[in-house]
Amino acid sequence: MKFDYIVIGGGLCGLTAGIRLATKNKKVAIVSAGQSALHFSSGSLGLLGYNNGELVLNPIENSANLPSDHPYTLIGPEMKQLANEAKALLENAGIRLNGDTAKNHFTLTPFGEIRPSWLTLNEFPAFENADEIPYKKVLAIGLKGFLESYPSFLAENLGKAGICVRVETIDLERIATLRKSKYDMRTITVAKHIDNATIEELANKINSIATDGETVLIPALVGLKDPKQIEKLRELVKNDLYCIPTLPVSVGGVRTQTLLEQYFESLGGTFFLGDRVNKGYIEDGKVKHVTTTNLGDDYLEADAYILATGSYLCEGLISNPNGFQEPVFGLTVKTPENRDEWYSESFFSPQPYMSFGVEVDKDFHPIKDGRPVMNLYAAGSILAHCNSLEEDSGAGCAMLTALHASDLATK
Amino acid sequence: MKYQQQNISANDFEECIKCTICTAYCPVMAVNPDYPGPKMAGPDGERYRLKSPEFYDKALKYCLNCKRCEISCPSNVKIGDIIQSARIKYDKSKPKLRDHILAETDVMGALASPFAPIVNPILKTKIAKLALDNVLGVDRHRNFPEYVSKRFAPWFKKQEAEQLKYPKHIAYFHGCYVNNQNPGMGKDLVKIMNAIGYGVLPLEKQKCCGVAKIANKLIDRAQHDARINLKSIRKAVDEGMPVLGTSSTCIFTMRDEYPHLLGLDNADVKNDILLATVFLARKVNSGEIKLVFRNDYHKKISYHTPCHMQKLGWATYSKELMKMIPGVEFVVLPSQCCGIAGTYGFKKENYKYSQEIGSEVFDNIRNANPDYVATDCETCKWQIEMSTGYTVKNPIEILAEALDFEETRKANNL
Repeated sequence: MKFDYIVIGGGLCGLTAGIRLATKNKKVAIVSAGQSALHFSSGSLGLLGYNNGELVLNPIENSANLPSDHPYTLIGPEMKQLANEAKALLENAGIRLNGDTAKNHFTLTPFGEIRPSWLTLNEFPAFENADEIPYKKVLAIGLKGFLESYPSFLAENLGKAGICVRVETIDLERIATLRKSKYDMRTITVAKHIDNATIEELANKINSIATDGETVLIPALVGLKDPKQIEKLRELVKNDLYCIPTLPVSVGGVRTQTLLEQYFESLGGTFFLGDRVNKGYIEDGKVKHVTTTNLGDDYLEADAYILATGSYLCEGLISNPNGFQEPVFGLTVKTPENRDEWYSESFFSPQPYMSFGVEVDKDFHPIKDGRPVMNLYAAGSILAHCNSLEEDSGAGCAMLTALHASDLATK
Repeated sequence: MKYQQQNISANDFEECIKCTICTAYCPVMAVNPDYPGPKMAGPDGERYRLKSPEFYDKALKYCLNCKRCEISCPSNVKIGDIIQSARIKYDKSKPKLRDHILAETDVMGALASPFAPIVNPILKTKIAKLALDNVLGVDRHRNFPEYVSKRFAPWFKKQEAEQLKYPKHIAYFHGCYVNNQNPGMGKDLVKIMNAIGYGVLPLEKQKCCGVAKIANKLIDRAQHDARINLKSIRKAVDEGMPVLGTSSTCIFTMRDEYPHLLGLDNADVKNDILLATVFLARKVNSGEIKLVFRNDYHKKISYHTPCHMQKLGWATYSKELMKMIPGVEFVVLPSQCCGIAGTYGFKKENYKYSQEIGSEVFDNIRNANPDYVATDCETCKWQIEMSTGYTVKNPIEILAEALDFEETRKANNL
């Protein structure tokens, strides 16, 4: 099958690239081996939250201090514009966000800790200053039988910040049936039961216990497919209301994935979900075609290819005790020879292996056997020299490098 | 460093990293609190079952084998296969009379078709439906697909001399549905293939693909039929013919379930077992054939992706073909399970869940309000027609309606 562009990987990075290319009226296919790390999103997208362990307030300005081989440094001065375009792309897909590229804002973790964020899904808290949570009184709500949110921990940490917090557990008749199950009552299982009637029931119960001036915090279970559910709930509840992330798989993550997929397909893109690119064939320094499990001897061919297969979680990178591989093309992954330098003994220290990945030239062509592959572009967490856990830069790196690589591929 | 190089667990269950993404895409878990969900029923449960078969959970019977867990798994774990293998291995309950009747689709067709004019109206009566419901446990809401009195296979056999005159050939696996309920679609395929220069020949022998027998744990019967099918498929492939089908589930079963659940290796012929739409779309894409469509065919068509079509990864081929028709307004519905899963939804104990699972599909169809729904699976068709009232057609039937056969023949130099 012939396309103009083939994107390998269907997570935040692959979908961003696919959407960018499809917007330019190109015939694009995305091949996605299973679902992506976006399902683990807390609802906050980071551009650059920390640099060398220091909190970052202005991510664009601060990115000038990053090492010369960092993906943001490779993008160069276009970074700011790309970041704005990334936000616009998400909004065009129907994803409702708060936040701005000019400066980071702050949001709350499931335990009520403060963390920086670039863009935050509309249902979550978003406030300007790291040292000031703008709520005087909080009502932290739990759901009877639901074990994937922790309002008591939340209350304890918010209490330390000087906020007066009350914890209440409410019961919803509509999900009583779920409690009969002897199995886990998971975030997504509950979220699938939230419909218009549940929202009315939930709003009534909240209104019956919330007092004047309390900010209501509920577990993020609303709006699995449709962000309008959150607005409806906010209309019905008389107090200010925000969601607090739950354990993954997260509602905001699944919704973001679904909306991006729908947007890509609405632009005419072809999304091969659950298929796996097994091998890429390179001849004379260019990718000739790739083969997948489902398409068998019908090769996928394109003018250019974007490699957005992610890191260890989604098998964009494979590791074993002897080394690291990029499995599709066999691209170069540079690692120290001394195995002890791959990791830090302290679990919470920055882990060097998190920065391992494929090496690229200035045009994001990955290197194989010392030579760049000219019609292949690598983007996202498969790139080396970016420790997205330490930097809180995973989403930004995925989206900005995807946009940049797509632009280079269409030049 | 010495370490185990390869994953050696059956169906890659050791590869599960407990990410739980599959649970977000399980249609059963969302409606039935008695079902543990793919992660617990699959790789988690397997660890316990390996310790002792006592840990087998009877609730695994609620899995409808849609494979949407496998499609969503980032670690390539064959979650659906783990669950179905466990049912086959550990569930010692005997299939009921009802299960036999539902699973023996070819035997039932052979018995019913001579009496079709009597059987069809009887099956529609309230009394028959209540009897089936109360005595056998076939849900009273279901409409039995109508049997035809003139089955496809005898007609097909008679065409052989004519079909042999074509320079190139394909072998057709028509399956039980075309044979017993919709011979017209088989005839449509013959007409389409002839117009592009291919003769259509029967397999030497063909039995039911076995999907319903596997689902109802009639494994010996399924293996018996599968061996006959594979033997005939090998013969056809040896003679240079690809084997085409018009039902995504039959094709999926013969390609994937034969090796994974019945232990029958088909690696030598797997790539030659294809859906007719895949064959056609590939030939059009490579420029080997041309399709010319009528100008007066104007329809709004919504495409529903059957679960097994999603698993095969081939929906794009069927969609591409229908998008080629100039007068078609084409709407792709979000890919979701319709809830029927073959014989699953016919069973009284599953009916309620079956309809709850499909409710979003039905709503999406009503919102799209098409002239036809197109889908590659006959049981999806029965479910959607019963639940929405919209007419459902196979892409092959739509192509046959929309093609200008004379011009197509000319365009292919015939």
